[in-house]
Amino acid sequence: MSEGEATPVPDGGVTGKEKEFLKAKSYLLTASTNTGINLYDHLSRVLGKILDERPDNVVDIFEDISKDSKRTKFTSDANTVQDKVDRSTEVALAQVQRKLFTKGSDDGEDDVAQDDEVETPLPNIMELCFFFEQAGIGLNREEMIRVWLALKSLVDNHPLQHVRFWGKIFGTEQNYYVAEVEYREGDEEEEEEEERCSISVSFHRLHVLFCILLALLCLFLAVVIIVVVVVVVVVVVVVVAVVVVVVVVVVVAVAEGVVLVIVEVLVVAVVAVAVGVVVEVVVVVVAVVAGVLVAVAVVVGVVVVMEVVVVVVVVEVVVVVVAVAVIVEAASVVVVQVIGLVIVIVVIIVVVLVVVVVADIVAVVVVVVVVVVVVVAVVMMAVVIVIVPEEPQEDEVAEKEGEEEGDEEEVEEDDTPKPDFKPPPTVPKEDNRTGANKKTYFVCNDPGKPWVKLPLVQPNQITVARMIKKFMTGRLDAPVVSYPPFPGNESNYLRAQIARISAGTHISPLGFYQFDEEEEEEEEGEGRDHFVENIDFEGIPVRELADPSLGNWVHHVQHILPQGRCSWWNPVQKNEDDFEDEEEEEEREEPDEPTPEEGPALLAPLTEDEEVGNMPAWTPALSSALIPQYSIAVIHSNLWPGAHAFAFEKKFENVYIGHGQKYKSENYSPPAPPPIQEEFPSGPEITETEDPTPEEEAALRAAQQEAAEAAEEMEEAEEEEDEDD
Amino acid sequence: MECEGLHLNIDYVGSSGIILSPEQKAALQTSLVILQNENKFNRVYLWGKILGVKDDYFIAQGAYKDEFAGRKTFYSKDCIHWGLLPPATDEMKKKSALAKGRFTGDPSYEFEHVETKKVGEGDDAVDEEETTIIKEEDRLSSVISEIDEDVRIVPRGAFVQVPTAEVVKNRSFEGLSVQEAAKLCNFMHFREAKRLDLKTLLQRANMDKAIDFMDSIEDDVPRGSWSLQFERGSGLLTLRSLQWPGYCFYHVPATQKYGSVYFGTGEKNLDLPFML
Repeated sequence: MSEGEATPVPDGGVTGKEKEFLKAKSYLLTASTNTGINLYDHLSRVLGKILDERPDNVVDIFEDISKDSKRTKFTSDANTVQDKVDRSTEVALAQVQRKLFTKGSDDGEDDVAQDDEVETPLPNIMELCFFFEQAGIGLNREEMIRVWLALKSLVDNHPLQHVRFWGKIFGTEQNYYVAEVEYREGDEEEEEEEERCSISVSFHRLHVLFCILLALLCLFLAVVIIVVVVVVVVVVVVVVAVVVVVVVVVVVAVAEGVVLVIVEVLVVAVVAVAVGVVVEVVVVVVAVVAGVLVAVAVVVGVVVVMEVVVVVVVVEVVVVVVAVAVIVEAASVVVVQVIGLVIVIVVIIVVVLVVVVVADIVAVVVVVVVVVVVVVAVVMMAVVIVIVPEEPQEDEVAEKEGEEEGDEEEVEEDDTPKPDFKPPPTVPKEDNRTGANKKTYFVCNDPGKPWVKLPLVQPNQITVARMIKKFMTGRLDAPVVSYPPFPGNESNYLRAQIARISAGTHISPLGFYQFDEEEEEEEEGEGRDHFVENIDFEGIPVRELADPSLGNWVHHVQHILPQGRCSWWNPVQKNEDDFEDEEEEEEREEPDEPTPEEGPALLAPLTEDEEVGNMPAWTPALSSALIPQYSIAVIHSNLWPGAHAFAFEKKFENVYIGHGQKYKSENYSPPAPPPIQEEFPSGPEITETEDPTPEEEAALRAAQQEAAEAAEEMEEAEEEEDEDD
Repeated sequence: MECEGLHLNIDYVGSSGIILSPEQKAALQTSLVILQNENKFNRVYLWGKILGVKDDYFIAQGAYKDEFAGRKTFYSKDCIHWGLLPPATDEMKKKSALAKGRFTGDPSYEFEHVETKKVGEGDDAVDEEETTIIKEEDRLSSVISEIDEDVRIVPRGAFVQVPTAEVVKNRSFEGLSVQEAAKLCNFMHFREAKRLDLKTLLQRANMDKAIDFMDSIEDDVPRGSWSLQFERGSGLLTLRSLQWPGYCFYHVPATQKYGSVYFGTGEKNLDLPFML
């Protein structure tokens, strides 16, 4: 049979099987109302894919392939909002961190040369990371590189003497990377000053100098201008006066005739010139003096007065001159003279007044400008002087509050009674570079993000931090909601925990640090707080360091006393001003004198550490049990889980990676609220008396009346006696 | 955390301070393979490390085809020699809850718990001391099962329950998207469901029976006992349990990479309500 015969289907000759087949196929070809595809196409696609790829155990993963092919079919090319993967935060962080990896491109090679020469405070973190990794402590290497680069940027931007990666504290939302730094001597204060100024008005000392110079220059110019103006005024006035007099005289002479002319001209000229010269000299001297006076300050009036005086003088001179001329000419020319005189006086006065007024306006404007400049300069100087010595505001605020409270008490004496409870004196914080504030700490949430400097720690923050147990959130400005209330926000809490952890867990091999021998004698009495690196330190064998006796490790951070300070502060401060009460006070205070709190001394060995609930405070170990001869000594703190230290030859380092919480064998229970206040002791003076009964009242009234009557009678009797006398 | 590719996966939790020393990594790569082979496990997990005062325990778990049932737990102090831990019974759990303090590092150490009881009535009451002895090995086993019970989590959809009720890895799991990964409801307690019955019918109607056969951690009490953080922007999700500090889960969004590990002291944080 050939194919040609089989293919044509006879009309109506469809066999039953073929019918079934067609039915099934058309069913498989039915498109889904939801997705629009049909099973027939899908199966052929899946089978095609399987035959193309030929995976093993295809029957097991058939569903997955089917699912896969469905999914690929429906991925739309168009970018809808839903399909777009939001990688923005990842990209944003990568861009922030890229800055760490870029090097200053301006003078690349010079930088390298300089970096090699200058001793940098940046530690070799990768080396330390390597040692910690041997002991199974630390962070990712990539993360450490990022931290290292972040520390480098910290070193580049601040004048630091010493930098260390302190550790990482986990928060519930973000984590903190903590850097421990020491500023170079004196540079910290400068930096703080700069920071503060840049916050307020961005004043710089150079700016101030420039302003002052500018003001002086203006002043000088103003003085010169005033002097010039005054001189010009005077000269103009004199010249005008002389010219007018001469003109008048000439006119008069012409009118009178030639005979008198020569005499008059001679007389008038001589007199006028002489007088004019004298006046000019005087006026110049006066003007200079006036100018100097003006320069000193603000006195517009002086100028005006001076000028008025000048004007008066000139006018008088002119009058005198004219008078002389008049006397010389005598009566023959009286009529002409009088007319000339009037004209002369009027002209002189008008001209002089105009000149004076103009000059005055100029002078006033100049003086006003000078005054404004001087005032601005003075204000700027005042601002600088006021701002610069400003102390940290918290203390001031606190002090002010204290004062205000005191004032209120005095003022409202008659008001509702106030409790006489006085809070115990707040323990003052330790100064920068001493005690718990010996080091400065910077934190950031991610390496590459800006470092934030933590505030100094206050003793009461440490004491409260000891009483509470809170997770950090990762936001420095987050409030710390706790009982007892924590004074400050999370940055203060973080700083307090850092201080506690540092004091408890920073250790070094015995002999690495030693006390300064020179200072030793001076500070014999008090606890010594200063030590130097021992140059002769040879390193302690690893096996001895890993010995459970722990005698070869010492604390190199001062212990924090229960008070919250490293050095004890006497809360009973004697008032040394009151000499009169001195004896009384001594008697009173002697029983109250508190005993100073004491803790382990600096560089005390770990053997003195207290046990933590039946277990030693530290767990020493070797990094490797298999190759002990090349292992390093590691020590883990059990008191602060997460604090570790390693030592190897002359190297050692401490690190903390954890939640920042102290280990307690017992469960935490917050301190109980203070006891309820006692009631006022009841006594007769505050007991309510019973109301008198009506009978008692009546009896009292009767008694009073009787007494009154008796008194009246007595008086009357006395009066009668008086009258009798 | 699966032992396959352990040296790579352990880096994902490095930012939580969990790292292994090169020596430990090398030892684990060797010994876990042998462990898997000897016990014919389908999969071996590095479960974590429990820190003792003197020594630490490394914990590994082996699973057969069903990931839920028949898991076996091993411990080792040197990462090479593994000892089988007895499965934790209810009585062991009850007893070990009485033990206080850290693990010592010696499996044969015995914790003692002394309880005073009053015997008799009225004036005849006499204080009687009852001493319970808890072996550290038992305590270890019960703490591990407790941690598994409380905090072991997986992303939603990573495991499916097949019709035979076995729980197997979902081959077509492609990871959570970044948005999904930021929500606690997409992470499930890897244990038999306890709270599914508490859900309303309406909520249960929307569930996929193959995927939603476990409890999500969204309803955990107290709220906030999980610290969810993205590292590297959104490139890596880290979930830390605050209830069992040291338990750390990671997931790289949109990939199949996920896992969890416990590196801690083996003590539950009972102070958690005060600390949030």
